[in-house]
Parts: sequence; C-alpha cells; structure tokens
Amino acid sequence: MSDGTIDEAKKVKDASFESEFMVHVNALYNFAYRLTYDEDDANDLMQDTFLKAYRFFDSYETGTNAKAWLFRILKNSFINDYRKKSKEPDKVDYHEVESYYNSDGKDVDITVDLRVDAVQGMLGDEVMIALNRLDVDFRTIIILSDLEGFKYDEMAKILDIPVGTVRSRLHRARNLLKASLKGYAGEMGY
Amino acid sequence: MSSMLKNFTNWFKWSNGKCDEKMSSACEEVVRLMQLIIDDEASEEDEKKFHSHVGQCTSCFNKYEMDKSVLEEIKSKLGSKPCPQEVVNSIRQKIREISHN
Repeated sequence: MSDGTIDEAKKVKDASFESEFMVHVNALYNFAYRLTYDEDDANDLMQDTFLKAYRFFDSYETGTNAKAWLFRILKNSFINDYRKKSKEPDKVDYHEVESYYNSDGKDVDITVDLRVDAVQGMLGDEVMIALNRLDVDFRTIIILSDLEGFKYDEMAKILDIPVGTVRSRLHRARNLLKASLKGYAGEMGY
Repeated sequence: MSSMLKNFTNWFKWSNGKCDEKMSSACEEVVRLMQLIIDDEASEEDEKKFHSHVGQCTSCFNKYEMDKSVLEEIKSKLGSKPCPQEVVNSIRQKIREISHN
C-alpha cells in the first residue's frame, strides 16, 4: 500500500469517526456522568470509550447503529474499570441483581399509579433526583429507554441481557421511579 | 371454590372501572401488554387485541391514558447537559496522538 493510499484511508476513517461517533458526545457524556456522578471519572470514561471506538473502528460497520455501539463500549468500560473502584461498596453484586430479575414473573404485575397532573407540577430537578436515587441498573435502563430512545433489542445488545429481562427491568425501574415521584407528589398535596 | 374467589376478587378490583366480570382476565393481559404498547414494541396482533379491549373497558382505557401521559411527562423532564468542551478536546487530542503512531 502506498503512502498516498494510507493517508486517504486515514482521512476517510477520521471523517467517519467525526460524523458517526463524535456526534454522540453529549448523550454519552450524560450517560457517563449518571453512572459515575463524578466529572473526572466521567471524563476518563469518555476518553476510554472513544479511544476504544477508534481502535476497534474496523469492527464497526459504517452506517449501522453507532450510538448503540458506543453505549455498549461505555457500559462495558464502566463495569470493568469503575464498578470495581465504586464508591458504593455495599451495593448488591451486579450479577446477583441481574439473575434476580431474570426470573419470570417477579413484580411483573405490580404497577404504581401516578397522576399526570402530579408530575406536571414537578420541576425537572425532582425527576432527576428521583432518577439519581435508583440503583445503577434501573437508572441505566431508564436513561437508555426514556432519555435516549433505544428500542428493546438495542438495549438488549447494549446491556448484554435477553429482551425479556429488558422488559421486566424497565417495568420495575419505571415503577420505582413513579413510586419515588409519588412521594414528592404527596408532599406537594396531590 | 378458590377460582370463584379469584374471579370475585378480579371483578371487585376492576368494578370501579365498569369492566365486567368476563373481561377480568383480558384486563390482566392488557395491563401486561401496556408497557409494550406504550413503547411501540408490541406485535400487530397484540396491538389489535389491546386497542379492541381499551375501546370497551373504561378502567383499562383510563389506565392507558394515564400511563402514557406520565411517561411523556417524565421524558420531557429528564434533562441533559452538553459534554464539556475540554472533554471533547481531550478526546480529539488523544485520537490524534494514537493515529499518528
């Protein structure tokens, strides 16, 4: 391969990287921050993720789901690098949580009723606080589904779990969020 | 005896929504489907089943409308902030470094 061809290939790669990957920095940064709650850790996680994405660019198929691919890399980096030095040492083990919610029928039929006018009366802060109080696995799935708009099968790939688990975990997460908001609503007189 | 009790309990649960006794197990299924419907993940067949039921069942209709609205409201209030420029700059800098090797 001549130098000219190498340069050309690099230009194409860099242009694709810019247009397909860098466009998602905001979404990824928010995810990184909501996982770590620390600006420095979020920064490190972002560097790590985008470097990996660049290094493994060849295994990414141009024009396919770049956003989901990046989210998956970030989530895996988080589990591998940050979960171990988590500031929440007494939290339940990740795999324990996952296997609990893999079992069928658990909490599937429990729903929390919350009135829409109660939520309308809330500020964004209250919703964010309620979200931040969720365990990381529930927080993650709400972010992926309700903030980033991923479909069930995309989330299954990002989180490496069956679609059935996505459904039940999302159902449970939304109920926990609603229950938390219901507390605020009660305080506000609804 | 216990299935009679179950039917009565179901009827009682849904009676304030005027959902009659024969619909009670359909209501349970519809509530299970509700998340799929709201997330636009249900099959065409399930969608037909769902909409046909909520068209006739006040309780389920109300619950569906409420669940949809609450979720929309929550989504609209989930804020996000832009990635700090220094983070973006560091990423680009690091990429430049590794791509020149």
